[in-house]
Amino acid sequence: VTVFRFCRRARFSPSASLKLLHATVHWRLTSSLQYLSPTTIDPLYLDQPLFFFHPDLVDRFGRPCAVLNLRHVKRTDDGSLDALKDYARLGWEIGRRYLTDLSRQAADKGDPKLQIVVIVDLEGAGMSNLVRTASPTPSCALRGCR
Amino acid sequence: LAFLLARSLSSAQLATVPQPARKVLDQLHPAHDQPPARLDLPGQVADEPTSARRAKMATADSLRARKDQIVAQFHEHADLVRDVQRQAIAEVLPALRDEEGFDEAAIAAGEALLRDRGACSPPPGPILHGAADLSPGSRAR
Repeated sequence: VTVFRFCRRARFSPSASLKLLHATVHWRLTSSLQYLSPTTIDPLYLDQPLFFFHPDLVDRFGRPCAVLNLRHVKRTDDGSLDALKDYARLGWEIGRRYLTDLSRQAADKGDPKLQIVVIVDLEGAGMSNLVRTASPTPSCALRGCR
Repeated sequence: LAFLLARSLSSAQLATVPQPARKVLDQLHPAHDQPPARLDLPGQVADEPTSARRAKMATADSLRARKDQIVAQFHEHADLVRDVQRQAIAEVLPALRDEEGFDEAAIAAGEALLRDRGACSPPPGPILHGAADLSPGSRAR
């Protein structure tokens, strides 16, 4: 499923797909993405559910939905957004793995899960939350998933 | 995004959406199960430029057509994808090891990505299911 998404983004050009995969694997390995886990994330973002998936939350096409609660976007005590960026990277990586799992489970039915829906909850979110959310996030973690 | 969601969730599924998000959906599109006022032809959606797609109003039918087209591409290009996967494992990973000096653990992580291994079992904590209590009064709402 992961390679398929990259191929699709490259319009099924093998050479372009390989370039994308090279860039992505390089980014993942240099950013130490594989070492992120809930235990390395600031509890600030885990105690309040800033971003989560739920197995009961799927749309009518069976696509898994994630919820992003913008009102819980906050800086850590040191005033930085570094921990938030780590959380965003981990969240998308878990989304990728979750999608892979679901797709594997649904493979026998011929209906692989290839997309994720993200619900953005704006209630209680101020402009500062939106500005913080606009900070760089590693969209390449789920590149081609839209 | 919320509008698209209102179009794509059924009433039963919508009931599981956290209350604040559901209020937004209700304001944007009160009649979630009404037939769409405008229908996009299935073939029109997928291959148009992104800017043109955004200018159109998405409907349940257009969302379904897009989803079905992606699934069809998944089956249609399965051989190509497998070839790219094999080639990436054979060429990309060794190239990264030689160019960047990544160790075997890093290369193994790259291979796990390309082979879709290392999935979510057991569930990795609060981001997947954990803190997501959708019951009334929960913090998730």
